[in-house]
This record gives sequence, C-alpha cells and structure tokens, in this order.
Amino acid sequence: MSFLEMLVQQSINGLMLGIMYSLVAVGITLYFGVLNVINFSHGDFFMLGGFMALILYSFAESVGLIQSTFATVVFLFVGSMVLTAAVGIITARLCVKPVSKAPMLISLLVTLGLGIALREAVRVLYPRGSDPKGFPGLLPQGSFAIGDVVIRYENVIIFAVGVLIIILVNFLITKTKMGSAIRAVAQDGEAAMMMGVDLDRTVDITFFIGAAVAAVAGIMNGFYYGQVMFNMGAIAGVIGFSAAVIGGLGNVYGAIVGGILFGLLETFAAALLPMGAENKRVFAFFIVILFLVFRPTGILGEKVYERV
Amino acid sequence: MIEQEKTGLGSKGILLVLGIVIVGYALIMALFLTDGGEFLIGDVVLGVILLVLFKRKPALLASVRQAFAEQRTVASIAAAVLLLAVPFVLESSPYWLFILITAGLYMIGCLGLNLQLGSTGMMNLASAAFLAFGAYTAGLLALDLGFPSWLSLIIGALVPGLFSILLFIPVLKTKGHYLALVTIAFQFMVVILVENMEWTGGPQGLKNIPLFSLFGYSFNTDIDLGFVTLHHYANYYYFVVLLVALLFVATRRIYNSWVGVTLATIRDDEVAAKTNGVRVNYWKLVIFVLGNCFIGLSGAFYSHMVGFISPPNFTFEKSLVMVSIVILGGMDNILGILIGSLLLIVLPEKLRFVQDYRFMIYGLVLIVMLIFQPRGIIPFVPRNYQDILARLKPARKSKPETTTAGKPA
Repeated sequence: MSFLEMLVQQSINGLMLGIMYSLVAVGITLYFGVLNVINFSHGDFFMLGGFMALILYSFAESVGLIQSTFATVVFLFVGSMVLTAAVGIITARLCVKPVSKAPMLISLLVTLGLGIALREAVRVLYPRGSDPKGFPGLLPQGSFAIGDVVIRYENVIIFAVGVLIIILVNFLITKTKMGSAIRAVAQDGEAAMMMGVDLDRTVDITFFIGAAVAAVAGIMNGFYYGQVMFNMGAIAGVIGFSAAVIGGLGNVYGAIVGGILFGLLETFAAALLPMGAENKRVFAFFIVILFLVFRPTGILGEKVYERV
Repeated sequence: MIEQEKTGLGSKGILLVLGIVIVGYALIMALFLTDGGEFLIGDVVLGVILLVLFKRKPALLASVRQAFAEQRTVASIAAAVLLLAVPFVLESSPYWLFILITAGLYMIGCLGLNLQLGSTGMMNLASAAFLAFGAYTAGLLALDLGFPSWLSLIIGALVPGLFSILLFIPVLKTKGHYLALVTIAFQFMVVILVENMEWTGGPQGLKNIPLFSLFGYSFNTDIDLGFVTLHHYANYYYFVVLLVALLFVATRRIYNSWVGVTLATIRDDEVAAKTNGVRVNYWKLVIFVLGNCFIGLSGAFYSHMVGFISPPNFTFEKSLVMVSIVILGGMDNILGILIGSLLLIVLPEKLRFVQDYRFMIYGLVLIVMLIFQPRGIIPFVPRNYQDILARLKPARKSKPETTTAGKPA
C-alpha cells in the first residue's frame, strides 16, 4: 500500500468519524446560540439515540413488523429521532432552561448532572445495561476496492445519511421561518421576542433539532462499531463540544468543519504516531488545547471584544 | 464578657452552640450506627426543613451565626472533643470510619479547589487529574524507589503543583466555556495516558503501595488502649483530622487576610482588579499551584491509605464530585466545603440500599439542588472586618485610627 493510498484510506476513515462528531457538535452549537448554555448532556442524547433504536428494533422484531430491511432502517432512524427529541425537549424545559440565566458554572454542572442521570437511567433500566449491547447489522455488508483503498458499503450509506442530515439542518436553519427564529434568538433574544418570536417554542424546536441530529449520530455510531454502550455519551459530548469550539461556538458550519477536523486528527494520529492507536484522543485533545491558546474563538468564530 | 452582655445572648448562646453541635453530631453518628434508612430519611427531612426555615427567616440564621461567632472557643473545643471521640463511637463499624476518612480527603482536595474556584474564580474541571498526579507520584516513589511514605506524601503533594504550571498558559489564555473545555480535555488526556503507559501499571494500576507510616510507626496497627481496641483506620482518621484542621486554619487565614481580598477582586472583576494594580496573573499562578498541591496531597495520602490505585479512581466524574462539593458548600465558604464533603461523600454510601439507582439519584439531586439552591447550602456572608478588627484591637492599640480607616469598601 503506497503512502498516497494510505492517506486516502485514513482520510475516508477520518471522514466517517468526523461526520458523526459533526452531527453531535451541531446540537451543542445550536443550544449555545439560543440559550447561551453548553449542554454537556448532549452526548447522552447521542447515546440515547442508539439505545432507542435498539429498543425499537426489538419491539419491531417481537411484533413481527420487519418486512424489508430498508423500511426497518428508516423506521429505526425516524422513531429514534422522534423519541430522543422528545427526551431532549423535556429535559430542556425541566433542567436546561431554568439555569440558562445562571452563572456558567451552575449551568455546566446541571447539564453534567443531567448527563449522569440519563446515563445511569439507561444502565439501570435497560436489561443488563452495564454491558456493551450488540447493534443489528442491518446495512449491506461487503466492500469494494479502488486500488488498495477499501471502502465498505456500510460506510458509504452512513456517510450519505450524515451529509443528508447536514443539508437538511442547513435548510431548516437558513430557509424556513423557524430557522430564522432560531437565528434571531441567537443574535439577540430580547429583540427577537419584541419582534414576536416565541422564545419557548424556539427553544423547544432547537432542542428538537439538536437531539434528533445527535440521535442520528448515535445510530450511525451503532452501525459503524456494531455495538452501543451506556457510557459512550460522556466522551462523545466532550468531543462534540471540542468540535463546536474549534469551529467557533454558535456557528453551525464551524461545528461541521470542527467535527470533521477532529475525526481526521484522531485517525491520522492513530495511523502515524507511535502508540497512536491508544493515545489518539490524547493527541487530539492536545491539539484542541493548543488551538485554544492561539485562536481562542475558533476557526470561524468572530472577534470578541470585552466591554469594560 | 461585656460585649456578650451587650448583644444579649450570653449563656443562652453557649447552650445554643453546644446544643446544635451535640445534636448534629448525634444525628450523624446515629446515621452510621444504624442499618436501615430511618435515620437517613429523618436527617434529610430535618436538613430540608432547616434549609427552608433559614431561607424564610434569615434572622434566625443570623442569630445562630452570631452565637457561633461569640462562642468560638466553646464551639471549637466541643467540636474537637467530639471529633476525637469518633473512632470510639464507631468502634464496631470501621467501614464508616473509612468513609469518614475518604470524606476528609475530599475536604483537603476541595479546600484547594475552593481556593481556585471559589476565591479566585478560576475554573478547574481537571481536579481528578491532579489527584492522579499526587497519587501516582507517591505510589511510584514508594514502590519503585523505596521512599519512606512521609517523604513520598510530601513530594506527591508538590509534583501536581509543578504539573499545573504546564497547564497554566492555556488556563490563563482562555475564559468561560473555553477554559472549561481546556480543563476537561486535560482531564481526559491524563486518564487516557495513565491507562496506556506501562510504568503506571496501565489499566491494572499500582498494587501493594506501602501503607502509611510515621517515624517507624505503621498506621496499619490497631490501637490497643486496654479497655478498648480501635481499628487501625483510627490512625488514618486522626492524621486526616489533623491535616484538615491545619488546612482549614491556613485557608481561613488566607481568606481573612489581604490575600483573600485580592483574590476576591480578581474573581469579581478581573479588569477592575488589573487597573487597580493587582498582579492578576501572578496571583492566579500562585493559587492554581497551591490549590493543586492540596489536591495532590489528598491523592497521595489516598494511595498510602488504600495501597491500590487505578485509572477508574481518577475519572472526570471525580472532578465533578469535587466541583459540586465546592458549589454546594457555597463558593468561597470554607466551613461549607467541609459540610458539603460530608454530605456528598457519606450520603451516596448510605444510599446503598437503593443499590443501582444511587448514581441516578445523585445526578437528580445535583440538578434539583443547583436549580433551587444555586448559592450553596450555607448562603454566602461577606467578610466581616469589624469582628476581626475588634479581636485584633488589643494588640494594635498604638494605631487604632489607621486600621479602621483601611477597611475595604
């Protein structure tokens, strides 16, 4: 395998991871725009997405609903998105919104506590929830090769779904009325309310979109690794946050770029560095810290002036 | 004596103070000595009632505070005697003694974290990483190089301070959410590295770390007093009580000194502090290093007490527990930190009867507490320089006017 082919292969792997991270980061950046809160429980929406799909799958199996694989996959995606989004809205109303005006440390701890509660709820309530759970391999297996670069069909589908979701989110945010409401609140909440934007409804919609998109990432993660685990949300949330910060908080495109960068960083660290496979995240986080030292507001972030 | 009569509490105050201390002590000990949940529920209900009562009637809380302020000596002596008696009371249940020692270690770490978070307003979500630095330094020095445990304890406390200099530039350069991310990323980096390095023992961790001993006296020997034999945890208990008492006094002195005021100006308005000539970066560095030394001390002692450390001991959740202790105790509230550590460490252990659900309950309690009581269990009280000056007055009779004039606004 030549160096170029290795580069291409690793880039493909990195893109796969990156698109999942992007989907998580989009939610974090959206919440930040609307509520000025970093939602650390967002990674657990990602985890919930995977588990909701598992629950729906076993439900469909027991009822005998499974006719075609395609319909099942669509059912899993849509069902899990709706259920996770419902959890997102409920938690937003109960926990996140009440602390959005509180000092940052309080909102941070509340959302972290919410993450613990969600995680533990899954671990306790799901049968044998402490173990990794196998995810059904519904996507077509097999692969094709271009030169020495191997591409699995599964990955193509996952990637396509990811891109589709990103386009959809972009459409929702830029072209629809509720999208402009979200952007208006992000720019100036009070002014938006004076113009007749319903703040509560906008927050609900934001959490609906964010949680649903995270659920998609969770299912993709399940298909990609073939398993889900109750505690996979913790690290996913931190990575999503890192990606959102690299891209510049509050900027949806930035979050996508940041997520893909983080994915590429991880795969190339794993491939090129000595002991890289285990320590890839150490390297990625190290770069994030360095990045913050030199560019504290992200790639696409605006310049911030402090008013005294 | 004249002053007491003026405020009108006097001997009633002594009774009040002694009553509160003894009843509180009895309720906590009853919690340890009984198996069921009756006392737990009773104590929690009582605590909530008190919280609500104090919130509704601040005058009541103020008079309790005043009584304690007036009867400092009585309160301290009573507390000291009762604390020394704990191993005798818990003679038959060393497990709870162990939990109390753990709470004491959290107190040490959280006093350090409070210097950063509460006094100076520096976010540090990597406290478990600094715990790990302390614990692994002490463990490795004692295991591989045969250092005596008191020496490795001291070095174990100092090394995290050195490592915090590494993290200091990113900490100084970033703010708010970005600072949170820097410390969280550092926390994850440290745990992953410790797990993957060979010389830290990898996921298995370090085993058989020599237990603590001082001047040839091994802390692993039971204390035989003739009429009663105390479990060897009593050694650790007394040592930790001593450490906590020392650090408590030290941090209180920092709090009440001009250093404490300087730190408060940095916390409240960094730009204003800078324009008034406060060396913000210098003080941030000092406090960051000092706080992490406290945290490292806690970790180092833990490794010498338990003899076994592994990466799961130092995960991000640990950092969260420490931060929530500082916040629930009330930022910059030293006594609150001690109470917060007791609550957050002892209660989950007592909640074992709800088995698997306890972490879920923990998360929910954290959310509810932070939404309804975000300023901590004990509300913040501004520094009272009148009292301090009044106590200092006899010593400074020569220049009475200048001291009162120097009172900060």
